[in-house]
This record gives sequence, structure tokens and C-alpha cells, in this order.
Amino acid sequence: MDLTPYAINLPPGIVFIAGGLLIPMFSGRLKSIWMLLLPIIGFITLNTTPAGNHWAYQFLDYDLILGRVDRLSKVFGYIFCIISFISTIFALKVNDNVQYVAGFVYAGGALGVTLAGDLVSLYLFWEVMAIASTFLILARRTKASQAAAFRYVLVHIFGGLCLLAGIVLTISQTGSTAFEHMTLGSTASWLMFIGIAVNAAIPPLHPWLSDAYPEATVTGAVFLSAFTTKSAVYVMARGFAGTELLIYLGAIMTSIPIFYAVLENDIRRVLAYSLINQVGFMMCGVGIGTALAINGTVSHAFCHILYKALLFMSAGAVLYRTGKIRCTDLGGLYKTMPLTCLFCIIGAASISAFPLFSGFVSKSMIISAAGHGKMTVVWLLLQFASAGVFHHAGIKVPFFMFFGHDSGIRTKEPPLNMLIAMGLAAFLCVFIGVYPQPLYEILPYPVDYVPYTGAHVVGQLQLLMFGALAFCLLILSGYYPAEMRAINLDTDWFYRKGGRGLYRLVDTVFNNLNRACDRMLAQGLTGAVNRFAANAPARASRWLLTPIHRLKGRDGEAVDNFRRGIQYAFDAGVVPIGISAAVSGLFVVLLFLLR
Amino acid sequence: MEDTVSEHKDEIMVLSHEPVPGYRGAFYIVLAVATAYLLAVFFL
Repeated sequence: MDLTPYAINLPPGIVFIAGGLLIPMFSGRLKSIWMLLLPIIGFITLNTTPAGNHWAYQFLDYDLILGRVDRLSKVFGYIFCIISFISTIFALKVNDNVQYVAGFVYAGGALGVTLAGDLVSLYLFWEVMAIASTFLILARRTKASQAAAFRYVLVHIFGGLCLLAGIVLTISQTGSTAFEHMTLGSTASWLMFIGIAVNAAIPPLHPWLSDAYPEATVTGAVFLSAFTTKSAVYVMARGFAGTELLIYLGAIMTSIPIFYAVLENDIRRVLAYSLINQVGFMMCGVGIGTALAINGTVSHAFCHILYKALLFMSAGAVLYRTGKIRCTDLGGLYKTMPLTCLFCIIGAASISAFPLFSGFVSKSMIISAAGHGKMTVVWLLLQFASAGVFHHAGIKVPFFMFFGHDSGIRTKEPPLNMLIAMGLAAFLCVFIGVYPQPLYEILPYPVDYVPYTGAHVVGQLQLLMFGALAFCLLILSGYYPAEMRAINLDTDWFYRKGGRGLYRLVDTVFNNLNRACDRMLAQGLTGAVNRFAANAPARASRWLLTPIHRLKGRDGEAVDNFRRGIQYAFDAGVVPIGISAAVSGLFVVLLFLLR
Repeated sequence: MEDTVSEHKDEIMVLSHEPVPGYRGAFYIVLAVATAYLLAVFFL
């Protein structure tokens, strides 16, 4: 069925942003319908738009292209619309306009970035995303969320400025605003790479993610998990595919968060670390840059958005019902939240790449691409990371929330809208895992990949079963690290602790310097000049007239009386004309001598 | 949260995992076998 006549002729990103800003004008059921319509309109618009450049506008001296539609941008656009729809269903009972508006403007920014055909509109939508997403953290309205939002926006301002500097340099050097493939080498490309790397949470620029996402609202975290990092993956795939550095950064990115996730007590922080780990796989795929690797990256981004949102929704549902999210506070919830538990397990199985779940059909493409490229060390790191993510996101998250020790909390399932949203995401995770063909058909390159081979299934099951065995043995032998109420600092130490230390150091140095300058100049030299200047005429008069007075043969008490008289005359402002004339005359002589 | 009841009032500061008798030995045996297996895979 041709839906073109029904599609609104506006870029999907603008539909989201403009429609999102109008949300406060609606109420009740109409508001829900309006919010659910926006992703549907966006999806239909994207689906009915043929490949090519659309929505081109003139802005200042630049040609803005708000709709570069091709196979790469379409996949990301589709999944951004789908997850916006699911997240909106999840958020229907929130009743907070700040979150609704921020969520849609944020999603619109991500869609704008995805469809941007030039660097200027890319940057504009990039910053829209940064600002809107900050409100999803602030909207929790706690002291911790405000502090996290402040750190979040500072990091993203830094990233945005790097991107802007790179864009300005590129435009000034080439005269073109076209957003095309780049190679690392020039200052401009490096600056843009760093700016994008901040949003992609590439180490060591990653700790903003595990710092901010767990402090967001229940629904805010679901939105956040989908857009910032994945739009950065898209921009990397568009601009820096085949960059070798990304292979190594990606491989490191998959491995480092595992250790932090195992130590972490906050469930949503564990999920944030696993998000970094999964984006690492995508970065690795972008770095490898072959058709198989790019297909793997795009399909993994697609699947990851679904199962990560599902995991954040299940953790959010638990937080919504119990008000708690730490491993130390939770446990045994499967009895009272069985459906949430089931959805969480489906998300966990998907992220762990169990056969018949979505992660299996996407992640394996990236690992196979590393294998085909004879990258043994990278391949081993990716396998290690696969076992690691099963360990913390696959087992730890459901185990400590729904099983483990009985926390004594007795609650009930979240509202129906939340269950429907989780059910939809869970269905898609299983559907893609069982029948990946529809996903494979929309990937950027033709897919010649069969995930369900005997060797692949057995190999993956071996990895997962040994991971499960390791978890069981570590728990039962008492070697598993204890969950503690603590904040584990990552490289954010540099701005959370180190920054505070630097502030103290600078404060001490500059304040002491200020005090020394105050003593020497303000109180010392200036004070002396001031004191001298305050009594200068009387002093100068005494100094000049006393010898003249002595010439008259006067001495002793008479001279003292004369000097006191001068001082008194100046203090009272009644200087005799003779003295004034004498001083003036002597002053003129002095000037003449010094001439 | 109004539908949530907590039977335990005290907040747990540290959730440690006490060893179950016999499993430390099992852990070391599995670790040794796994290490030997990996060494065999990589070097033989």
C-alpha cells in the first residue's frame, strides 16, 4: 500500500522536534494519541522517502540537507522511530511534560543527525540532542541527578566544541559542507573524530555514560540508552568506516567495562557499562570496515537498541515499583513481578547472544568479520567480551534483581503500558533472533551470512555455558566480589576528584598570590604613597620652610612652634598666603632645576 | 511504590557471598582444567 499521500512532507527529525514541543498543549487521552502518532508519522515518512537528498534548504551561506536517505541512514532511522514508539508507550503514565518534550526533541535530534547530509545540520542536531538529553537526567529532580546532569552537559559541551572546531576547519579548508567519508590525518578530522568519540563513549572519554544514565528518570534512561551512542555509531560508520584505530579502541571498549560492571552495585549502572561494552563491538565493526563488518555493526546497533531498552525498562519497572535499584536492596522479585522478570531474562538472553535471540544474529557478524580479517587478538578480545557481557548483563542483572537473596520486598507488576512496551521489545528480540531475514534485507550491503550453522551455535553455547559455570562457581566458592554501597570511579576520577584537587590547587596558589600582591601593592606601596600623599603639602612645606625659618636665627622651641603652626594651617585649610606663595615659588624653582 | 511492602527494614551495606563448603575445591579443579585446556588450544 502506498502511504506517500498520508506522509507529512517534513523531515522526520523536525516532525519529532516540532511535535514534541507541542505536547504540553494536549492533555489526557489526546496527548497519548499525539505522542504515539509522532513516531508513526516519522516511520511512514522515512519509509516512503526514496533514496537521495531531500529537504534541502538555504541557511546563511550554507546548503542544509536535512534528508540524506540511503540504506545506512534508513536502518538507523527505522530503529529510532520504533524505539521512540516503544519508549512512549512505556512513558505514558509518567505525566511529566518535561520528560515528554525532552524525549521527543532528543529523538528528533538523533533522527536529524542520522539524516543530515551536511556538516552544519549535523552539528545543529548534535547539539539539540545534547541539550534535550540533559533534561531527561535533570527531570529526576534529585541532588545526585542534578550533579550528574551538570557533569554530563560539561562533557558534551567539550565534545560538541571539538566537533564544531573540526567542522569549521573542514569548511574553511575545503569550502564544502558536505558530510562525506574522512580519513584521520588532518587536525580537522581528528577534532571531529574526538567529538564523535565523546558521544560514542570511547575510552577514555566514556565515564559520562555510566555516571549520567543511572541518574536519569525511569523513562529517561530508556530514551538515553537508544540515541546518543547509536547516532555516534552511525556518524562513525558514515565518516570513519575502515579507520584502523577504531578496531583497537573498540576491542578495548568491549573489555574494560566488564570489570567495572562486575563490581558495580547499581543495576542501571551495570547496564550502562554493558552498553559501553556493546558499542565497543560496533566500533570494532566500523574500524574493520568490510561489508560484513558494517552490516554487523548496523544490525547490532538495531538489535542492541531493542534489548538494551528492554533491560532498562525492566530495571526501570523495578525502580518504579520498589524505589530501589541496588543489588544490595533487591532480590527475590520473581515472585511478585514474574512478567517483568521474564522480559528481563529475554533482554539478558539477547544481549548475551543466546541462539534464537537477537544478539546472536548480529554480534556474530562482527566477530566473524574480525575472524575473516585474521585479527586473532581482536577476535579473542571480542570472545572474552562476549563471555563477560553474559556474566554481568546476562546473569548478574536478572539474578540480583529477581533471584539471589530475598530482599523481603513484596510488590506487584508495573502498570499495563509498561508491560506492553516491554512485551513489544521482547517480541522483537525473539522475532529477530528466530527470523533475522527482514533485518538482513534492510542492511546497507547485500547479506551473505548464515548465523545458524552447527559450528557457530555450538561454539556460542560453549562460551555461554562456561560463562554460566564460572558465575556459579565464583558465587558458590565465595570469590565473587561483594556488592557494596559505593561509587566506583572510572576515568571520571580526572574531573570528579582530580578536578576538585586542581580547583583546590589553583585556589590555593592564586589566592596566596592575591594576598601577597595585596600586601605588597595595595597595602604596602600604594598605602605608603597614599599616606605620604595625604599629608604631602604640610610635609613638603615643613621640609622646605624650616631651613628658611632657621636662617632667621630662630631655633629650638620657636622652630617647633613654627612646624606645628604649618601642620595646623594645612589641617584646618587656612594656609597663610605667604607660606603658599613660598611653597609655590620653591616648587617652581624645583621644577626648573629638574627640567 | 504504595503497593510495595518490605519485610526487611535494615538496608544492607555489603552483600557478600559466603562460600558453600566443597565448592572452593571444585572452583580450583575447574580453573586448573580450563587453564590446561586453553594452553592446549593455544600452544599444541
